Amino acid sequence: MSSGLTKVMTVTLSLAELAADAAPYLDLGGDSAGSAGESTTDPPTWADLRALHRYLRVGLADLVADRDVGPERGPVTPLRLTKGRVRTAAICPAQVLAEVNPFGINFNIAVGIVCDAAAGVLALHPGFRPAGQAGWFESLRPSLAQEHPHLTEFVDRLGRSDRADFDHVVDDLSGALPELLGDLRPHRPTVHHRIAHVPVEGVQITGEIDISLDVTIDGTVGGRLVAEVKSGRFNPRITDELAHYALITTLQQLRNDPHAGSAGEPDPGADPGEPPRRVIGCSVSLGDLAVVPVTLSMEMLETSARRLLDTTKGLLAIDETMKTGGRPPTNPGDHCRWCRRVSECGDAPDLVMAEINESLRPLETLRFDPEFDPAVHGGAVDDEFDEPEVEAS
Amino acid sequence: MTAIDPTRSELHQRLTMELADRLTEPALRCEEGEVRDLDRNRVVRVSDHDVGTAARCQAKAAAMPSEFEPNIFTTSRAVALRSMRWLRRTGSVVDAVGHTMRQARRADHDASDDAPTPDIDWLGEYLADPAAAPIDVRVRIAARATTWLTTTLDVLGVDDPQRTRGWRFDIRPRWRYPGRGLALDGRVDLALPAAGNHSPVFVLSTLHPAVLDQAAFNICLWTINQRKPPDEVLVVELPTATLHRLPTDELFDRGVDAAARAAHAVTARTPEASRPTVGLTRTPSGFTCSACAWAHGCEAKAEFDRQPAHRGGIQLTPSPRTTD
Repeated sequence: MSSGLTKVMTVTLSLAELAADAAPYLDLGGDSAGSAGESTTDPPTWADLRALHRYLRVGLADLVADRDVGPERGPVTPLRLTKGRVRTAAICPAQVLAEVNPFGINFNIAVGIVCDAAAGVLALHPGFRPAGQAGWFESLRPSLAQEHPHLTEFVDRLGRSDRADFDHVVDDLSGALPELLGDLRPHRPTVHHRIAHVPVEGVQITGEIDISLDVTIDGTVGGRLVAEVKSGRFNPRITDELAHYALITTLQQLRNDPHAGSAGEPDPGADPGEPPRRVIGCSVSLGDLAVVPVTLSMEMLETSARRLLDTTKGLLAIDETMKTGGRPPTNPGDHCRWCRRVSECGDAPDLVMAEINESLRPLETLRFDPEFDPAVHGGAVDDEFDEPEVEAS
Repeated sequence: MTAIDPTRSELHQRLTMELADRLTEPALRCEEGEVRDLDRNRVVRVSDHDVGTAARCQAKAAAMPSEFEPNIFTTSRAVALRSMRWLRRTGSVVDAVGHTMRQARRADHDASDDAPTPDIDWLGEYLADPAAAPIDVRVRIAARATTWLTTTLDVLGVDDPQRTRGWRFDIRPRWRYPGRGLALDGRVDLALPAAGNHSPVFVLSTLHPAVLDQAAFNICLWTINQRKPPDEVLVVELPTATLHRLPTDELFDRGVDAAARAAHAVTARTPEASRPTVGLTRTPSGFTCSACAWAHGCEAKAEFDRQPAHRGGIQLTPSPRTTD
């Protein structure tokens, strides 16, 4: 399967095996040391990262320069560029306004959250299995009730038949995780790690990585593996998500740039230092029962950066419109049926509104459609840095 | 207040005098007597958490705090900090976290290790209770602690656990108002050995001004306790994986201001109050108001909710600052 800028392959190895030896999956276009080639998948150099950072900074600074923040308004609230916002802005700019509505959950989203949680537990405790007759959901209920209370409430409201269906699907998918993940503990795992990069003051690019691991290339730890756990099948949109995370993770490395203090471009003869660590993407696609490595090229990182600029432009336009009491721009279409503000929008196609009015419950009828992705259609809130305000005594 | 000169060798004395001066009014609302002589429940304690809350919204800090309940969110940081003690011995973050959690459950600390922390009881008790912390909850705590610790070490450039030799963890600087039952309790995550000194390190998930107020407050208490200011103050910003050096010359005035703001709010708490004391600053925001006891009747919050940007949900437009 190919999504144009990236090459992907489905492999039968586990995530742990991929982390232990990623060289065969890097697709460097030459030998695995990267000595050959004009390949588009060559790892980025420090100069590449500096150029990418400069591109983002200049573009964003230009966009946010006129942001209307008067002195009476207090400190600036950073503009967050989340994975969800980047994706919804590309479909319909007004979808971002749905964030003010209560978080919507449905069968597919619920399945995805439980699988995600199961993977997070297995990353630290590979021997974890549901106890006795309990399924994965019941075995994870105590932690899910704390971290996703809306999920447990949703599942408890399911009818008997739907609940049996839910447990069956969750157990099927989560049951495959131990083999697909392997023992990740030797690879310095992080789980559900919230990451951010601040290219200019007032703008924060954010994301949450399901699992990240040290990755060994040709016998030495040479990079970081960024893995997304997906309850559906692999599709090209997952590549975009991985590129978003890779962009943040890659730019974060600029703190180690050996030429960080140089004015202008460094002397070509200067010691290049250690190259940036390679960031490798990977989808644990439960719908395919496969681990899918994704080669993230410099070109993909640049595309991801361009999307961030487009998203910023769209969000600022919406903010300006709302402040002046205007109607936000919309891009109505079939995707309106997945939008949480469809009933208040007024621009949704008649056919979609008719479906909704007839209570066809399209979310439930399209479960496991590989094209369905809650991050696109439901606007999952995946980035919130503030923890509950309770203090340890 | 005259700006505090951080270069003075007797800075800790100057800080003590400034705190005593700025906290006079709230101290007078507290019991007479030295903190060490009073019953625990007769002492008003201003923690760095209160300082952060008051910096976000002073009125919110005047509400009676809810009782602390250990859970996944509130225990993982404590586990991560304690795990640092075991890093050199175990050689890996995952093993150190696992060891810490097993030790806490058994509550049988190795006497040869650092002194047990004051929190060991609540954490061990919680982790050992299978009803409160079943296995999936414990693993989720371990996962968060592992992520916290792995990222912190990465940002500090520590690839070998042996390089944590000489580190100090979870330090609790404090100061007591003389003659009154008013106690300031601070917290510093780490201290790295430096030439003849230690450099305090804060591990933060945001650089929100309120959080930096907390850091400034803690550095004031640290300086008083150490009897000299730190040469440098480091901040690990976890989400951006960035190491910041805070300019120390700005911290002392900021820390005293933050302490005074919080002390005014905390000493105004009364269990019977249905609204905060008049005169406290209110600064509503989606996050601040979400767990506030006054939220229902707060005019500032009502005004905030009427803002177009909030109705739109993007939260690009910041909130106004109002005083009741």
